Amino acid sequence: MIYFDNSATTYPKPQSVIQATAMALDTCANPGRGTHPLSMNAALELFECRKATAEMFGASPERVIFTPGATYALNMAIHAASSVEGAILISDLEHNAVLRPALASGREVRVFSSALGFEGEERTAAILASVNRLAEDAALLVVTAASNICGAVMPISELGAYCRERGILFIVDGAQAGGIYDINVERDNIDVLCLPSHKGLYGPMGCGMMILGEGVSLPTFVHGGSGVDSRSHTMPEYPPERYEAGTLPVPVIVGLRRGIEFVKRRTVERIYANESRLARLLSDSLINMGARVYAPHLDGGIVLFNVDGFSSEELAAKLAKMGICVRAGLHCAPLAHDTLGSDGAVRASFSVWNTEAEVHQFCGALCKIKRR
Amino acid sequence: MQNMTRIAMVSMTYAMQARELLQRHGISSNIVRLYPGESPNGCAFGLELHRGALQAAYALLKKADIKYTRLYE
Repeated sequence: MIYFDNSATTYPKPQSVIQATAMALDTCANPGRGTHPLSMNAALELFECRKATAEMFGASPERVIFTPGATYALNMAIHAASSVEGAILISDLEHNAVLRPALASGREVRVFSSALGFEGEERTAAILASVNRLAEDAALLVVTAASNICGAVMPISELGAYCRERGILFIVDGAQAGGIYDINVERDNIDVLCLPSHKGLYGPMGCGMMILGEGVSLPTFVHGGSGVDSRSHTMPEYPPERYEAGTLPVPVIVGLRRGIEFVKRRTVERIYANESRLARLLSDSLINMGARVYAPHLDGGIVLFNVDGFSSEELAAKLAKMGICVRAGLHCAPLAHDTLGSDGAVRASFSVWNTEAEVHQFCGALCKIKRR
Repeated sequence: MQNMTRIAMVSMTYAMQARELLQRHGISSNIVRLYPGESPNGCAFGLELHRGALQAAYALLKKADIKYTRLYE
């Protein structure tokens, strides 16, 4: 099998992740509820995972909040900020995990340009200019650090500095960037960074993180048992427990911690280098074959393409029968597809495991499909 | 035990942070559930440590801004 669907979830998971997750089912009970060994094992694992996450993303451990997923984290951040009046700015590359809660919030949603026609500093300047035209009375700016359908990355540092100067809450969707690009909450002036456990961090599915910048305090969004202050009718005063109601997905978090350690050993730089190299190879090969590749000039570990004579779903289905895993359609990102001029396409997305040989096999399979 | 005392922490996370910090400075402690009356809202965690280390522990927690709710002298 060739697995080129890592933007959906990375596969396979490292053995350390699989073993730790399974072991947690035997060694961990509910954390923060008691002090017996099984509860304390779980509490320690959670704490160590918070520390590992905080170190990777430039935050404090107590400001790493576990959520059911990155989508939940984004919803929590966007809706919790509803007490502040003003419009939301989002980019034209946003996933539905940003677009839908933004629209559901009842605020005015303004879409700024990702300026894909520019490169380098010119592109950053064009993005900031687009934001600036729309920023009057804006309360929030929510942006993806990296697109889930092409190699586009957004200038997070520059956007963070812009927002910090103007008192605009800066929320970053790190779903496609965590573990692949260097993101730092403190350095990049990020107020809220939302991440999933199961993509670039190689953890199991079922968990996400909302990382709060120093001094950021949001109203609570979910209310329930927190393990402390049970007689109080409100959630605890301080993060992380303030934002974590109910039982956390402990085995997933245990696995996530090993995933973070795996990424740390490999390094973000090497992981990105491998993914972008393979994406460049595939993109160039597809263009030579006459396929339409969207935004081929962008670097990054994702290639979006179409082949004449086939719908993207048909192509993906044929590839699946040949043991090749990709994703077709709109990838929960209709806004991004519109920006790229696509009405649905095939996405190939890479991971640390993929190889050049697999890219060549992929192209061979595509040629066979075209010939039939 | 008479020569032991407790520091009530705001949550398990802060109890873990505190224990780790104190350990780095040679102060050993255990995370415990607080008894009724030791916490205003019930259900709380704290550190149990030797009474003689309390002032040093307090200074370390304060400097590191690790949130506790009460020191039991």
